[in-house]
Amino acid sequence: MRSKLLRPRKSTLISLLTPGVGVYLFVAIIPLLLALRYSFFKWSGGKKMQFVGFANFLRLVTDSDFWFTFKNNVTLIVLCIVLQIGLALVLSLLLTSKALKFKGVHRTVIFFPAVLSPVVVGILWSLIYNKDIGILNWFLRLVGLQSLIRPWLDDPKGIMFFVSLPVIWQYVGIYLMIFVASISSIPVEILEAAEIDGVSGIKQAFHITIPLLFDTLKLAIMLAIAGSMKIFDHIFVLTGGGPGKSSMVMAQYAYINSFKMFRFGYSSTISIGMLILSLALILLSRKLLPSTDI
Amino acid sequence: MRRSKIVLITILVLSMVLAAGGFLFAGGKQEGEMKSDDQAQPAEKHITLTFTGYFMKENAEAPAIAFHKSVAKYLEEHPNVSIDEEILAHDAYETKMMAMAASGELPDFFQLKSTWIKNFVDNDLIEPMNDYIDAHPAWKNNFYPGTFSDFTLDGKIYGIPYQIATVSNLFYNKSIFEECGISKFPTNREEFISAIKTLRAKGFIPITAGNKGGWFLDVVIFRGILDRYASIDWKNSMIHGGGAKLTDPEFVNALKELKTWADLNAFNEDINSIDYMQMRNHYFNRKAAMMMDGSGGVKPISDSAPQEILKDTVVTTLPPLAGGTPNGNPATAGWSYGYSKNVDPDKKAVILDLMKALSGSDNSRIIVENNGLPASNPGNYDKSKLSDLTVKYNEMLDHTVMTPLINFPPAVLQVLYSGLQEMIIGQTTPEALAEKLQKELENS
Repeated sequence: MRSKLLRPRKSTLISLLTPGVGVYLFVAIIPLLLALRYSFFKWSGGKKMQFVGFANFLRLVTDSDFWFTFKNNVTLIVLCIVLQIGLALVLSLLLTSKALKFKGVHRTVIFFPAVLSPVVVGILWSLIYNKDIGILNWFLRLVGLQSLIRPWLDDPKGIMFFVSLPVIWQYVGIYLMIFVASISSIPVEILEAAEIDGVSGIKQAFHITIPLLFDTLKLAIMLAIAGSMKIFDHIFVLTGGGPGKSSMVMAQYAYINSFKMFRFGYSSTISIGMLILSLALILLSRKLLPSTDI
Repeated sequence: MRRSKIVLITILVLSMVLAAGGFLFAGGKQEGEMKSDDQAQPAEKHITLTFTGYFMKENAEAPAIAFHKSVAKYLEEHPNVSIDEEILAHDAYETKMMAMAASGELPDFFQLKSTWIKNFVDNDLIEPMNDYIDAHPAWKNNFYPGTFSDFTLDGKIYGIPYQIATVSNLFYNKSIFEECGISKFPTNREEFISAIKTLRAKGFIPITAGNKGGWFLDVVIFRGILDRYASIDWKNSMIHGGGAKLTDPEFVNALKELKTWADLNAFNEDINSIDYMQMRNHYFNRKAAMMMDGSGGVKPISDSAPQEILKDTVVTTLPPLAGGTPNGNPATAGWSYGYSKNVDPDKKAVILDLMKALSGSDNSRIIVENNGLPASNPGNYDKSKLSDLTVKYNEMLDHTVMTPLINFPPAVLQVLYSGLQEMIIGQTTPEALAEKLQKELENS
């Protein structure tokens, strides 16, 4: 009998996909189209909307505040790629090696932050960074490094780095899972053959595992770019964009323009700008990273 | 069962789950409904009003306590009325109101901020109440002079005030000053600057401040400084469009003064990462010599400060610095009660009646007895209920002049808040900020 599991009927497929696609359309696609519409208007909420054509976009291109926030997002992307993906890669190699004990515990502990709400993570880290009662300064005092103590979230130069740490900490687990799954799918024969040839441990990781992971790495980088471009919750709770605008990101700039400055049209333009820039960066990353032809 | 039936049932179940989830997450009411016994009056029409506000029931400030008591009393007297209250935390409340205003669907009545009025009027969401106010002269004349001005646009009144807040009060610990050899509180700029230097040299934080929200530096500290450089006439000219500019020396010099203090390390290091409640800890722990706060801080400080600190605390304002109004304290009604233009007439009558009760002398008495500052005269009240700090505050008020608080449009305010933060960490100059603000003001 032809297996209905492997080739379900079209009607089954459609009916099962409909709720999910419907929700996604309603929650993500339609608001995006509406934002595109609003971006051509000058609108302060309420009934009056004034069509201004591309004026908002022109303003966006020359808005130095916006490009400053874009720079912050790019800083975050770089930090995430280097630290988050880098750390996840190292950890995944460790987790799949024979040397490590208690793999289950490690996996759970590393993945756990990913299920927390970003707001919770933000509040948690704002307490960690607190100058007087924070764990970080307490620890520095404990090991005798008092000279390094300072109000971490008040430093405009290092603030993007400090504010990225909670983000990195929270989502390392997700990338870890992706890499572990990918490494597990490498055929055992290849690794065994390498062992026989005398390549093991770190050498094996560098020359065999990572090249085979390359496609997964590209995917992870794409996810990191997409996620970092829309980051909002952590930074909103940690610093609110401050001090001044040093840690302001694009999403928060859009929020301030709409909810604090009553400029809903312009903030829709900012959102569309974010979309275009994210797509551009992702396409760029795909072009720059060489495709693997095994 | 046939395959198609299974699929159909699955879809139905999924849709119901989605719908149920929608109901669960919609609304977001944090307070239940306040109903009163409405079974005895079948003839009178039952009115249900919706109210959204930020007056919490726990940890309440004086106007919040008065609000809940007055509403309860009103509902007792009018059993045919019930109110669906939705209470949110202050910042969340402002965000939600913005969203509701943008979609054109305001609750029946709500707490109305003075800076929102122009926008709401432009978008046809609220209407003037002059007729009702003029029809009740006793209640109208019970308000302190000038309290309606924050809520008046082109002579039309859109909100009913319930409190007055002074924004720039200075609390200082006189034992710390004495310890540092400063026997008298500074009476001019030279003495004040020298006091800041001395206090810092002796290891104290001269002034503790919490600017995480961005507004604190402006409202509490900068506006006080502005009063010492700008006269009431200049401020009125700013408010009524009489030709004053933000690039005038009055404004720029006030900015420069704030920058000077920041450069002298007058503030706590974590000024931009803690908020206006956390900053009090520096003062309570006797690490800070001075603290500035709005009048809304008097009750919380009274309640939470250690006794020894309270004993040593003196309430005053900034000393005279340059010219301006030497003992001025900007005051504002700030918030009011407002209602949506689109309510039907029976609801409107009830709302107006209710707002009258919420701002009359009975309500004011509850406010003042809870250490608040009402917008209308409370008549006789029990002075023994006031905390020591409130008594000190009220005495200070007798020696200060209340000045108008300039209500900038929200876009300008936003630039001012982040601009002040940038200025005190050296990322912009007073002159550049003044120019940026003036440009933003002309654009709005």
